[in-house]
Amino acid sequence: MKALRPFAIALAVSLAISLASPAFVPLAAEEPLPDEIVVQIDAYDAAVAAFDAQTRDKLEKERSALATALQRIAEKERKAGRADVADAVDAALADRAPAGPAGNLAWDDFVAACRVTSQGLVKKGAGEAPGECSIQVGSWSATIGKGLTVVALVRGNPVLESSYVAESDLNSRLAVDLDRVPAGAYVIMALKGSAAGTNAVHAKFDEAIRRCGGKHAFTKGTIRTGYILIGRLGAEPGSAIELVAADREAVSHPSGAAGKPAE
Amino acid sequence: MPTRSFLRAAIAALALTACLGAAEIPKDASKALATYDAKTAAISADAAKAKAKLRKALLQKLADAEAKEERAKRFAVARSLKQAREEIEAAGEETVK
Repeated sequence: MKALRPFAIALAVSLAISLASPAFVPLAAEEPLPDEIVVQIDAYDAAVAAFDAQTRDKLEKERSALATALQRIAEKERKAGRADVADAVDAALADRAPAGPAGNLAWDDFVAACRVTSQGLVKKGAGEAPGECSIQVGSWSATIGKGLTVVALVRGNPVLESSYVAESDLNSRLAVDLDRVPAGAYVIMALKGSAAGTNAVHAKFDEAIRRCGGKHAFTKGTIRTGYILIGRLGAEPGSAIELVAADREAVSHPSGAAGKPAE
Repeated sequence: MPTRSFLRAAIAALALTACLGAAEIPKDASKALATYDAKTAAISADAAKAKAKLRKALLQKLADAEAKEERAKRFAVARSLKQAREEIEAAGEETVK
């Protein structure tokens, strides 16, 4: 026991030094902030929120005044038979629209902010059921329906958010809906389960895909495997991101590992 | 030669407009747009400036409180204050970006 005494003393001394040192970090939970500081931080948060609200109001007021002035000019130009000038005025106004819930992002940032998953039909018991599907841009999520969900965004505002299941949806309604979307809008397509009938020919649907920068051609019949397109309306065919899942597999952007690039 | 580069830029802009076939916006519309752009830029800049001033004042209060706690050897509280200060600083930098 005598031999151990120096070690015990050394241990006690080192423990006492470490406890007295300012560098000693207790394992206890983080110390709460003093009350007066909490009050100051809360007041700061409230003041910042008030500034933001005030700024939004001022910007909205300016935008409203601009919209009134430009709509009057566009109307005058249309009456004078200069529809192209009126369209240019409308486009200039649209360029200044406030950013929507998905954010006004540059193309590369938009692609990076996209989280898309698609899966066709999966085995469920003796039969088949739709797989998983989701479309998210930043904190904004699209409403997913049966079949192919198509979303078009202008400055982060969803100008098209619809699902297409039947053959007539894909080969007709989609083209009509895309006609209402301005060129350059960001488009996301994702399939959930299946779309179109057994004898469907997808010529018009493939054409819609080309309009959005895609190049994939669907073979005749029911579309039943996952498909993702992230493109721009009016862009060159082949410029979009396209992923096609293997049978019963899910495909995702950005990982995309489960699928393969569209051919 | 700034004149030459200006001419080159003007010709390029004209050529681009011709290629795109875009119609020219009437002068009164251009003026309204320019006024709007200038006003909204000023509003945003004023708001950013006001918020930066508030943030600076709060950060100073936190730094003072941190120093006070350190002097009183309440190091855990000082660390919490430092963490809060760093979080507010980082949030401010994100807003500026």
